[in-house]
Amino acid sequence: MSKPEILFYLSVFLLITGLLIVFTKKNAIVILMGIELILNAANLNLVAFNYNRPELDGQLMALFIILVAVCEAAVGIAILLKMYHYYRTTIPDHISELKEKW
Amino acid sequence: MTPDSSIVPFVLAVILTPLLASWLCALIRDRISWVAPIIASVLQLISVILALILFVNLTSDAEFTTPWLTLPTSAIHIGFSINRLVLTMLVVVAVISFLVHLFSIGYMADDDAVAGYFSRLSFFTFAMMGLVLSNNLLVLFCFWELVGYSSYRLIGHWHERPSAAKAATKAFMITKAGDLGFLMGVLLLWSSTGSLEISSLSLSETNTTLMTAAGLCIFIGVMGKSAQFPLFNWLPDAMEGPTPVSALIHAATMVAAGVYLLIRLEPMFTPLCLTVMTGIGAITALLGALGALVQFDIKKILAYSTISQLGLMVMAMGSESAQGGYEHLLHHAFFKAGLFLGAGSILHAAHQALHHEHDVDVQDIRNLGGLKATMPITFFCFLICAAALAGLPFTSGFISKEIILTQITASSSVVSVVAWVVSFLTAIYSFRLVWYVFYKSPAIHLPVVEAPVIMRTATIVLSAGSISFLWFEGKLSTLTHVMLQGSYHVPFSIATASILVVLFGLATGYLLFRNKPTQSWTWIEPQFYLDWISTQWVTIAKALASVTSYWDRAWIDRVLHGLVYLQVAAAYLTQWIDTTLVDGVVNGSSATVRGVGWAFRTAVNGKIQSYLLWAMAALVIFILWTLY
Amino acid sequence: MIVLEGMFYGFVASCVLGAFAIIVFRNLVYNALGLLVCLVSVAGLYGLLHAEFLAATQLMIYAGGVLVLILFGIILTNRVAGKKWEVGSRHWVAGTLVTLGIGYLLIRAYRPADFGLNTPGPVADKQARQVGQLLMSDYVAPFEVSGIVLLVCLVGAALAASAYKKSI
Repeated sequence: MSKPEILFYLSVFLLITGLLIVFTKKNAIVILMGIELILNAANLNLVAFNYNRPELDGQLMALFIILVAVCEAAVGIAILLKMYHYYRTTIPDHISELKEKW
Repeated sequence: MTPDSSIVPFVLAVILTPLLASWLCALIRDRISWVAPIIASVLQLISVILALILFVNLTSDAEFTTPWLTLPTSAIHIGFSINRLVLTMLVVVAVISFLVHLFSIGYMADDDAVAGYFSRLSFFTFAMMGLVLSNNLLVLFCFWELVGYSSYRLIGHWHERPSAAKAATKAFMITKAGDLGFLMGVLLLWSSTGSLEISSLSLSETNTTLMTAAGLCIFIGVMGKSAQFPLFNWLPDAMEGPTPVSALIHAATMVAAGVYLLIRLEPMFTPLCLTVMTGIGAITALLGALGALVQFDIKKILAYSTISQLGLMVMAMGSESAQGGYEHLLHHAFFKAGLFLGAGSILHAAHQALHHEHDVDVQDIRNLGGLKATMPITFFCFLICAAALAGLPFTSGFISKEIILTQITASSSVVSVVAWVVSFLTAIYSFRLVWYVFYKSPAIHLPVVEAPVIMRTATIVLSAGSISFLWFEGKLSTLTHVMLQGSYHVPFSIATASILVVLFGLATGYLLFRNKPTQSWTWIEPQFYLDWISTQWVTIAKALASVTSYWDRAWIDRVLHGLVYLQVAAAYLTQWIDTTLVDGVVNGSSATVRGVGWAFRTAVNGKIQSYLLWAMAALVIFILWTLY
Repeated sequence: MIVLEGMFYGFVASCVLGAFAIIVFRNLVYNALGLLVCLVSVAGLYGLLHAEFLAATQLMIYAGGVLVLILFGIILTNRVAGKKWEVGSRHWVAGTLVTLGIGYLLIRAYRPADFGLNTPGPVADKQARQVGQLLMSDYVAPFEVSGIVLLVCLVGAALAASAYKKSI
């Protein structure tokens, strides 16, 4: 079991953990945390595959992903704040206007 | 020359003319009721003329039938036979009916329901002619019943009198008991020979036991209708009807129908049947004669005399003297009707004379007497007819009685003794009747006058028919004998013996009754206790009816009620099945659909995370499916 | 070397533990701390993988920026007086199944792969300088685009989070 392989499994673990958080958690902030986990998992995968290579492609891709992740986190918080301001709650379950009343 | 089918309308006209008269008289209202006797008598005269034309033109035997009922195995035809025997009876019935019609014009002139009376009289004539002519036993049975019904209506003509109503019912019921036997005999005959045609009856290749049984059952019917022992006690009570009715129905024609049937069905009777017939006929003759001897009511004397003479006829049939029996039937029709009409004239005159005294029974011969001087023509006719009854020479009764006695004496000894005794007794009671009514002095004052012309005419014609004045085949014969073209040979010994017996009887009568007008023998009077036996039968029948009705109510009705309850319970069960099971299935399927729909609908709950979850689940499942 | 190996496994373990902490705990701040631990251990892993520049970037941006952002979010969406904070999870059975399925699929997809990384290769040094050079030469297009993205995000987030009354 070499390091990249372990890290591959770790990144898969982080990915499914992040997905689990996104699917199950009630609070919107925790969902954002889950999204960050997913992105980190992708990053870790990329960097792991860059091990023992002279090219730095993996790292640069990871860099750009970090960048986009930051932007996305900022916009997410903004939406969250707006949501909290309007609906007075941070729980997506309480905002179910998509559902027909029955 | 065989008669062709052009004779059929003639025959139909003979029968249907009285029916037309009956229908017309039934329509006539009370205000114009004097029209009814005229219509009836005229139409009956037309019938008589047509019958005579038919008889005169008779050349050979024929039968005319038309299909009536077609069954898979057999067919029933209605039709009539034309032969000498049938046509003679037809003529006799027509003539006597016409004479009775004439007589009734005078006799029933003061009655209230004249139109109805003549309607029923004509209807009876129609039924009797149908009975005479039919050649199918089932059709004959229909006419037999019609004749019985007519008799019931006519006996009960004065239905407001309770005795008349009871007498009519009694006659109907007792003859109905006989008719049951008749029907059984017809059915037995049909099942054994397969045909109901009278002309096809024979004893050749049939089952003897069945034929005997059929014969005996038919004879039961004859016993009822022709007043044989033990079914004769209705006939004396039937005298409650008007006297012309008694003359026509209960002396000349209806009671003779039974004997007529025996003659027509002669080929089918086995020796056992004949023996039974002879025995019963003998008993009847004896009892009838004894009864006539002790009665004091003029009509009842004649009724018992009729019973006795019918017994003699049946005895003759049983002893294979069919010709003698038939001739005696025809002769008896004439002289008995003459006697009855004579009695009717007397009663009518007595009623006219005593119209202000209602407590005197004019029918009691002890009250009558000495009418020889006041009603000479009636006396003369009555005397002739009584002589024919007794069997004096130069009367029709003498000829037929000789034929019968010859045959009976030749065939058996016990029965012949009875026959001779009966003829002795007949002479006695005939003398008694004539003596009491015409010769002795009356108990009360009776200023009677002679009967009206129209009534006298009928009586005269009938008495004329009772005399033998024609010369045929070298012997003295009567009109009906000539019509039948019969031949007879009476040994001189029998003839002499018979004359001696009659004279002896007349002498005995003279000695017995010359001075003792009021004697009565009570042990003979209550109709030989036959009424008591009949009443017991009725009581038994009523008890049986009450038992069966109790059974019906208690058990059969319970079963029926149980069935109804069962049906109601089944209905409830069906309803339960319908609501619970059938509707349950339907409701259940709809509930299942609703549940499944609800289960699927919960997936669309407006929550983003669950949408996401389901989308990823779908993706995973899809990829797994594709892989495997 | 054993220390490096031990650190490697330690960082892996702490990453796993941090991820668990987000799932298991019901407290928002604990979840945030768990995320912190996870991010820091990932940075440590980057370091051990000879990606020092990235490790530093990860620490600064993620642990120092994104996490602070999340904490601010937690603080600003205070609980309304009287209403309890709802934390926790539901549908975790179905979610576990689905995620395990995805994990299985991923593992299965890469299973037979031979990563071919067992032979030690040359290690790059002077990573910052190399990254900078690459950014300007090979990756200049994404670099420029990411600048635009950042600008747009900055403006958008600032606008979206502001308290304008007129627009929702």
